[in-house]
Amino acid sequence: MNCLNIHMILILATISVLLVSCEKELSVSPEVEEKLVVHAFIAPQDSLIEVAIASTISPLGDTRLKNRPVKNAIVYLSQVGDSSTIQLRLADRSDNDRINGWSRYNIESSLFPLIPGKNYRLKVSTPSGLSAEAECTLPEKQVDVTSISVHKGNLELNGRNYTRFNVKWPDFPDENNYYSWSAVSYLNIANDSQVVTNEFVTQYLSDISADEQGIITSNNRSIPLEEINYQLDSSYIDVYVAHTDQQYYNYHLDLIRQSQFENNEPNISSPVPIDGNILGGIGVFAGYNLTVKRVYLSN
Amino acid sequence: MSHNFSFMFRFFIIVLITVVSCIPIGLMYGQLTVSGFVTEAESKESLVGVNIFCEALNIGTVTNEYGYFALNIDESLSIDSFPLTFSMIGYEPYISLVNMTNQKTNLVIDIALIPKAENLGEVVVLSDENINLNAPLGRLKLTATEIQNIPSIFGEKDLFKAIQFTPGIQRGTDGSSALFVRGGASDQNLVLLDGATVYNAFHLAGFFSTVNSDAVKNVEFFKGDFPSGYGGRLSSVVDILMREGSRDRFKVEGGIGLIASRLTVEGPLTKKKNASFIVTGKRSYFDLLYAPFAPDDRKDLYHLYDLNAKVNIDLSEKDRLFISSYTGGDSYSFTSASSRLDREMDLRWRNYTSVVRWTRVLNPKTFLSSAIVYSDYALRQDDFSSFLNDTGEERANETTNYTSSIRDLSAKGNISAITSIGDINFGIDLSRQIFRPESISISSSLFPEVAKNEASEIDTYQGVAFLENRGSLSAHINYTVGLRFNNYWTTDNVSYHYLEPRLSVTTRFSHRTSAKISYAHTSQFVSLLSNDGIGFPLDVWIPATNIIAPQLARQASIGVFNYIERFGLQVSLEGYYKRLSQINRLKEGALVLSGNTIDLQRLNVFGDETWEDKITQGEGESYGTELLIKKTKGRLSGWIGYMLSWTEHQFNDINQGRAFSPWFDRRHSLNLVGIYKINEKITLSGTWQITSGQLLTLYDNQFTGVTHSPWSSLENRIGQTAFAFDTKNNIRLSPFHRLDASISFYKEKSWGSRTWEISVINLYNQQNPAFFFPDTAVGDSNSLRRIYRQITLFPFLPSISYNFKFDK
Repeated sequence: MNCLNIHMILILATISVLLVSCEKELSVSPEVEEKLVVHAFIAPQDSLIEVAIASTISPLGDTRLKNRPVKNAIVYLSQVGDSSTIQLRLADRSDNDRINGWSRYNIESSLFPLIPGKNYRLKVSTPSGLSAEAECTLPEKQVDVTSISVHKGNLELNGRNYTRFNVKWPDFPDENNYYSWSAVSYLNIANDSQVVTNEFVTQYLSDISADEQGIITSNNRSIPLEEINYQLDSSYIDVYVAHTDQQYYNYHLDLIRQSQFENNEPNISSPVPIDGNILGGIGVFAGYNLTVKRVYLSN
Repeated sequence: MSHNFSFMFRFFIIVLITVVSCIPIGLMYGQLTVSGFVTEAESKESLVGVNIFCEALNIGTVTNEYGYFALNIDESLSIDSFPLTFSMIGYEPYISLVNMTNQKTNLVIDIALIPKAENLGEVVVLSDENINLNAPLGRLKLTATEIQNIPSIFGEKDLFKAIQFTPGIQRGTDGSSALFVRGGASDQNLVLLDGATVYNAFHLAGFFSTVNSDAVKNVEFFKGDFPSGYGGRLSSVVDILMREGSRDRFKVEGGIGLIASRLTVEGPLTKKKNASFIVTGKRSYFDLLYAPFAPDDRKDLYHLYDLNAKVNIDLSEKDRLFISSYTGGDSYSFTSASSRLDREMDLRWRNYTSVVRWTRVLNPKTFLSSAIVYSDYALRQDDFSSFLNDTGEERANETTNYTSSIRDLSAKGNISAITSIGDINFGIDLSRQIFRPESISISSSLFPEVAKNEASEIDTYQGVAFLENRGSLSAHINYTVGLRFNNYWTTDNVSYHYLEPRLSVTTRFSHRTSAKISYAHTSQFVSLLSNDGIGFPLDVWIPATNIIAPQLARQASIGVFNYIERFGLQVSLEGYYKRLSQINRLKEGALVLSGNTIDLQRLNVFGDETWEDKITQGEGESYGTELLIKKTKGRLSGWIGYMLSWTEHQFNDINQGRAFSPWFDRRHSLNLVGIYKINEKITLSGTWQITSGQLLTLYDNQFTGVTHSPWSSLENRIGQTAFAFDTKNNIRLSPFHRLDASISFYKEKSWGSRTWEISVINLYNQQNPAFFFPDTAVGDSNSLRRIYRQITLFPFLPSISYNFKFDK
């Protein structure tokens, strides 16, 4: 929690003790209307098109529940302006699905190829009468893999050694662009066998952060060299740079902001909404166009 | 900047020529002028707002803030003499027989008014110009005595809380002194202390004001019909004038309360009694009370303080010099020590103001006031963490320093003159403001990526010129018309100009009834970034920039006033409509301070966000009606105030662009204030307030939100609990109501006097919510369920204070 707010609470707590303040459960509660929760992120490069579907629950309830899975939904994906439509099927329930409280529906991309620049529509309905739909446009442009540069440096801190890196790529000029980037580092332990040493947090960017030359520069990430036994020759990073639609960016920004706000700000008078594009429901249906670049740490 | 300067220069020259040419025209009429200063007989302090009235000629005026008055007498009336009445609530009226015989053009009479004896069995509240039918709309005058009569938390008298009990003011959090005036946000109120801006007028998250009522001489509060001399804020002006100190003899007064004590010393500076001083201070003892009981491994120490000083000197019969200064602040420190982590945190916010003012009676008809004014507000947080290993040695550390400040230096000049076309008031104000919205330095040996050392400073300038004419169209119709020109520019070549017309007209239907209308434009070039809700004094002042345009408002109001002599009741009914544009607000989810920056940087999920990125601009509208029924005479005095109002805001980046009512929009508000003087020693007072509950946004749906990573499918992701709501401020809480009461026992002593005051806040222990937070409670089958909790800060709360005055 934000230290500053903690201390303001402490000030108030101190005064509250002096003032013999009282605490009780708030007697008013909001009216709850059940809605469908839909999450889908689609890309031409994906081998599987996946949609997670659930229904909302009251925020004033059992903390073990996040939302309810919807196992009997009818889920259609179609290309706008084209007659091609496909129904997604209910996937086997995984442990993560149980934790997330949702049902996953999917279909192989080979059965419904996704084309950059095209609009797609997702329709979800349930026998109980809930329905939702959304549209997204797959970004037409893909960041050129040769234009992505990875900048590495060494860092020594408190006796520990790190390889620190960031990523740069050119922004597409004369249009509003949104990106996400992430990376996974690996260590080769035998022929064709490797272990993941780090999965780095994804960063979400807009072209506002581009410099005067139109170059987007990511934040730094660090790999502790102890974790790869200083085997730079056997270590590499897969860098993922996605050109995303605006909805993808907005949704992540809001979701992270809400989480930050809930953790930092005890006062609930200004909660953070999450911007989604699901008509009749909650969540997001967003598209991205992915580029992956592999970089060896020894280079 | 040069363009702006030349523009301003040309503008001033034009205005100056106009004014200089107008004043002599008025003066040439050669009317006889009666002028002088009005002071208090005992202390020789000047008196503000004394009514001077000549019934025979049906003319009158009031003393200005330096106690000066000037009255034109038409020579053609051929009157040899006439009585001139000087009156002010709390003082014995004085009638001076003005002899016109052998007078050439001017007559100077200095008057000393004698305070009314304490045993008259009455107190007065809200002096508001002695039933002055010409009093402007939306204006309130308070004296220190009046502030003292309102029951207060822990006996800490607070003028802002007294203002809160008048119609037109919405309350914020329970106990907070913040003002929400006619639909305006709390940063739209200008607080002036002897003419200097006080940027943070509150202590301790707004629960106590920085103004020591012992040092207050006069307070004027404007919520509509702003005189042209005031500007820079959209919704209200609180103009506080400090006392000058007794010229007669040394006096000491003070008070001892449960949480703070205060002391005031005043007296003459010279044997000739042409100069005096006053010094007043206040300090809390939260820290001193808590420190002995604080555990060794953790200390939370907090204190607040205020120190005012003022000196005034008569340089000659016509020239006076005033030097006043104020400093005050809050300091909070936190230290903790554990086997793994040592922490030290300091949080300080501080105000400083200083004013050097020179006044001169240029001639009996013309009064000059000029001043150099400096204001400084700063907020600073220093946080140091030392992470320890098993042997207690430091293995890593982290430091965060955060500063936000504003400095303001201005030169002001103001000329007021009486002419044949009425009173003319002209002034200029040139100021420079240096903003440092955010200066942040972060270093972390654990997270080297977060290292940061950034400071932004913005230099802004303002040139203001105003001209106002107050006069009569007939025996029954008075008017005030004014223009205020604002020119604002920054060193980044950002500039804005606004011309603000001000107009008010009063029609008297009888000696007891009048009707008034007024219209005013206002602009605001600074604004406060603060999160919704309690408004921590962690707020950050920001200037208008090329991205953030100045906030603007237009307000029209209409009112009727009636005095019911039989019952000694003043009744006023006012209606207003206010339109706000380009108003600022934090975007949803943006936090004021970069206190969370280090967390965000650690996550590395966003690019850098500046303070300008956190702001969105929109529009607002507020309208309502205010009723005030006031009794100012007799043993029982007080008032009933009622307000019915609507406020809506609209921002493209908030609530999906849909209009919404801000959290402080309360439909109904009823205030009752009663003061009963049992005898000369015992006074009972009570206040009761009931208002519509505040608005609140509560989540109405819960779901699993998930962040996407391109190297991971949904099957492999674990989401987080997320929340949704349909519309902002979707819940209105139960009505707020609270009854406060106090009784004071006054006694004359050989050394002076003392007053014991016993007060009870929230007499019937109503659980009004002040804060809310999410929490969990044990539900069915021992599972935890999510709930919201409310904290009531002020339940039934008795307190006692002791006040003394050594003045014999």
